[in-house]
Amino acid sequence: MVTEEKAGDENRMLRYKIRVLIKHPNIDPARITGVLGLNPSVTATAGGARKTPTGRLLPGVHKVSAWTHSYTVRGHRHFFSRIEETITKLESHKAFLAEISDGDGVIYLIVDLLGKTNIGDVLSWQAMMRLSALHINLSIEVFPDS
Amino acid sequence: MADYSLVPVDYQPDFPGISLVPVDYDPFDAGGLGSQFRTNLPAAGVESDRTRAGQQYAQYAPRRLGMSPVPPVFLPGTPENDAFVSSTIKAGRAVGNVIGNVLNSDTASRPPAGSRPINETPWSGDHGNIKEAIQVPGNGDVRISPTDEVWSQNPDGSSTNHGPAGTFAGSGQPGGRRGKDRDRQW
Repeated sequence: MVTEEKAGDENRMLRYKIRVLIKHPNIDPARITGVLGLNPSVTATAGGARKTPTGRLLPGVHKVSAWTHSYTVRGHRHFFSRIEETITKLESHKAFLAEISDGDGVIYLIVDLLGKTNIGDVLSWQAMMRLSALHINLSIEVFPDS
Repeated sequence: MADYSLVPVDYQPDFPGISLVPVDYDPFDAGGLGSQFRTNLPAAGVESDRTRAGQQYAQYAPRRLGMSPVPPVFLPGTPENDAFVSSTIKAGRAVGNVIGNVLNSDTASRPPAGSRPINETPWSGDHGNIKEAIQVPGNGDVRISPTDEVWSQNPDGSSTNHGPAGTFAGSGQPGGRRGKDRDRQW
């Protein structure tokens, strides 16, 4: 039997991150931000200078444009529910996402599962169809040491 | 001015893009040319080696445009020749290092030898943050080089250097590992 205290500890350990990652040969990341209305955590512009997170310049330039929006969820087990919420937000921009996909861009919806706490969920076939209709690739990765 | 240089050699070296034509006479005694190269010849005692038995002379015909300067000529075994060869090798290495650094620090066919999957390194605890920062999805391979630089594999199979791993961690230090492997040396 699981005590309430232990259940509380496990809930606090439940963490995951949802990431929307868009890569495209040459799009201006600012356009993605403007259209989707989501704040990016990281962007890169094709042909632009490469820098480390601390601002140090790196040799070469970005080969492609990339745009990431992310947020971390704590104390919540059903990570696919957040995926479905994100799908709903993106569905209103279906034409724009199709433009990205048709222009050799790739769209990812990523679940990063953080830590070693047991966590699991089910993605319904309906949700999978919605992802497919938006040409979005679903990615799931475990980071046990994070 | 003739568009060639005269170089005495003890063997037939293989230089790409350069033709070496053995000659059966002492070209340094040819009219006019000898005086041209005497300024590079070593001191007394060495000069006589130019015509020693078995010595070959090669006609070096570089592809040059216009009236570029003739390269220096030194006899093998002389201090001048050793210095010239040494400086040439150093210059070649310097150029190679520059090219190598550019390739290794931007895009290369693979990460440097000794690179490890990030989850096998002390940077495993920063794996998620690094992956977000370099904007790769779940199937992206991320490695750490022996000099603690972050490398990722591109869809075309090439690899990109994203700079020092420490710049991706707030403290600049590895986030460490958990579980039984935490203290394992990598």
